[in-house]
Amino acid sequence: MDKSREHEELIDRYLTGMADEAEVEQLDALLKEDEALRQTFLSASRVDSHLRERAIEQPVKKETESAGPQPLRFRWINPGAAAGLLIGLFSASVVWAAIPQGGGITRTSLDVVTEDFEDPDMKLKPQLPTKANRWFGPLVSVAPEGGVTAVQGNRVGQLSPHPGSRTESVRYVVDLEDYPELARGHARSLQVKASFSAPFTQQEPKFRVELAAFSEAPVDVREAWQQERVSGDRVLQQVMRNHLPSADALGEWHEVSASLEIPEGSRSVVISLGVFHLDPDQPVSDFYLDGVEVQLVDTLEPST
Amino acid sequence: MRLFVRHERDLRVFARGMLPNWPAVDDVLQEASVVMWKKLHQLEQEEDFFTWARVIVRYEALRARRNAARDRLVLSEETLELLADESMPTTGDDLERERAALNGCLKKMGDEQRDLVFAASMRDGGVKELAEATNRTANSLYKLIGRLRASLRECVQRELRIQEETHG
Repeated sequence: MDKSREHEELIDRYLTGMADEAEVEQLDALLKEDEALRQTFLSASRVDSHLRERAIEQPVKKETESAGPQPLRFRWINPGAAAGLLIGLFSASVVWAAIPQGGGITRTSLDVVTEDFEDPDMKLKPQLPTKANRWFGPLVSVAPEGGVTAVQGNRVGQLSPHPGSRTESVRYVVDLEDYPELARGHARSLQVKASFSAPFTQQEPKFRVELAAFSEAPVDVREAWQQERVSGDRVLQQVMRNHLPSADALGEWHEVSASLEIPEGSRSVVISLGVFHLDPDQPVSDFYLDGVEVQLVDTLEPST
Repeated sequence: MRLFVRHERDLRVFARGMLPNWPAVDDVLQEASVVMWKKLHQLEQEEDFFTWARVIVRYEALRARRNAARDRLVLSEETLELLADESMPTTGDDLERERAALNGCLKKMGDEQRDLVFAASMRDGGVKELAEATNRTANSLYKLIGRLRASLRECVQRELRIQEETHG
């Protein structure tokens, strides 16, 4: 093998995780000395990146047989940018991440939205949702007070319940048509977690995460939601998780999580994050919301 | 956030040139995204975002290298600095041309070959992880995958040369 091909193979072994310590040391020494080889390395790493991009764009395949006497069983997952990765503050990027599972279960997750309410100018419509991918409700972004520090970033969402109302929520609609089709044999769920704090209340608040799947498109969810209150037959699937903090811990953050199995025929899922005040005779007060993370999780369990 | 999302793929390409594997790229981009958020006020013009963001990714990649000082499977800091300096001229347009060339080359491959190359690229642990999952030895599998990857790189270079000759 000529030197040039030998060096290219060395680079590729490094990029594919095949190089041992001696090979990495050799490659390092060569790259220090040889500008042309550095360009070869950079070109190879770019192609490697493009290849990875293309690979994760592929449709999910359960398995395939390929190349050689023994069938190669591939678990097709969409890893991608950031396994919990760009969760932080930029997590609107659409990213599949593999979650290691035991027992042959394959699970992939996709960041749907992460919200830390950092935009001081955010203005929400205080109504039921009429569009996907945005928050609705009586919420503003504020710097927290009362000894509370933000879960993420510097600001938090402040929800101001309507006077006399025992319950108030901020809501978000996920349009399932925005996401890849569910692969055969997989089950899909929506997982939500959010942190709540109510440092100023004299009430006994119940923090609540509620998820509801509808067959309607996001634009029609508002009407379906209102009809649900009358007929009770519009929601395909619903879960509600409540958290009742102790009286001496109201000013602390309380993380509440919920997961909804999304039934066949669903088009929209409504996420409601709110508070329910137990005492109808006491005035209600503002509460804080932060660290909201929403993921779609696809699970494939081995058939028995 | 909008700017980051727009340039995320190209920032990943840049980070890959400095980091030994995809989990490291993911970690560095996560850290860099937080730094960008905190320092966004320093960015004067949106059109400067990519250049500005690359500086942050570079810094975070070098920091990650220092934290992994005992890892013998990573390139030295000196080499990473050289690679970062010399990858700077690559623009978003260059990367799009490379992507298009690679897509053309992948179409010329057989389905099974393409699936195999993709399977190795999907795995954070690379060929070794794929070999383990398929009960093969890593070296025998790499012989196959390495040849396919080399032919893809050659094809991409050839396509780019043809494009350059055609369009001047």
